[in-house]
Amino acid sequence: MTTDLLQSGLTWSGATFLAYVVAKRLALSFSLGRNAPLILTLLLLSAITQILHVPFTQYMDGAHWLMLPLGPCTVAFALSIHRHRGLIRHQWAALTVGIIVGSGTAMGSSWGLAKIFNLDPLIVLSLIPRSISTPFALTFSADIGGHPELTATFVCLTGILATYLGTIIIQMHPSLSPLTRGAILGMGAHAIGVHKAHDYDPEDGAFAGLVMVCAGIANVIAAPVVTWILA
Amino acid sequence: MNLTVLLQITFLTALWAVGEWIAKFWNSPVPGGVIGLFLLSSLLLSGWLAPSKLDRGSQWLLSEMLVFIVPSMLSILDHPEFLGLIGIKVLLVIVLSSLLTMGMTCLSIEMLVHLQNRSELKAHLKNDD
Repeated sequence: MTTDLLQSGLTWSGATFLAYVVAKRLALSFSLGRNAPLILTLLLLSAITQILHVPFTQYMDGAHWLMLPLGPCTVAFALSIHRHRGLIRHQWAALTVGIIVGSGTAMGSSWGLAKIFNLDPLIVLSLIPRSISTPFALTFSADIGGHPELTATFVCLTGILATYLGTIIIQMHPSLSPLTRGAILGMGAHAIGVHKAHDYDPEDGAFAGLVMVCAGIANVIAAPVVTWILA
Repeated sequence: MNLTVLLQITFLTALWAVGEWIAKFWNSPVPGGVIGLFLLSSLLLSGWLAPSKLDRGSQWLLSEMLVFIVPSMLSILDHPEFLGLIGIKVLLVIVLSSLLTMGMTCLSIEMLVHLQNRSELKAHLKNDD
């Protein structure tokens, strides 16, 4: 039993890591876009599990070990907060307003729209945390009774789509301040958006990163309130 | 990845474990990861720990974060229903809600900056009197 656990853990965590390394290499050597490693990894792994007729639950039994570093990732965000503590002191008002308005809109509109489209209650709950960084979103989703695995997918789709939409908004309004540009991308598109913000300007990037991390913390702390509102 | 990076990651993991333990022990609504984040923030702020001591480990974790998320994203294979109408609805929710979120964030911060500039201007004018 224990050896089985070890074996499946090593096999599927290892296979996932290997697929990721291969996908990154491929994306680099063919100079594909920023989202290519993720998409290639998913394609490779779904091909492997389909060919070997491995059901998802069996895959996840082994691969969930690979998700453990998400906890330490959350802790590591402390370094980016510390690096930008000056920015927090100067822009605390914009940070607070952006996070409250942004998170409120993200959660409220995800919930409302999902209800309007008559989606399954589990999907509705899993959509609510879609706008915050994954390590936070998974905890949040579990807290309010959603499905963390579905949330992971929604969070990623949000990152890709919202970065694209945010870029359009920013191009349409060339007079936006770096603060606003950063907040749009950090609040709307978390990690992928923060990457994009760094392309505009380091100032945009710093604020985007700060908004992303602080929104994640604020949301997770507010999770009991959200559960209470939903009940 | 070398030994330094590995040690730094081990330290971050230990902080996370302490956070988890505190969360369990006090039945805290704040999850262990966030408690660990606050613990590390206080260590950094108090000056007991230099950020440079953890820079490379945290950078490695955060830049490779994608691979830790991949397993749960593969759960989509278990949900063939997303290939149909439900999938389109979910995409619509994400697109519309993202537009609203970014639009509202944009408006609120631009308004705030505008207000701040106006009050600064007023203060200036007062000083000139």
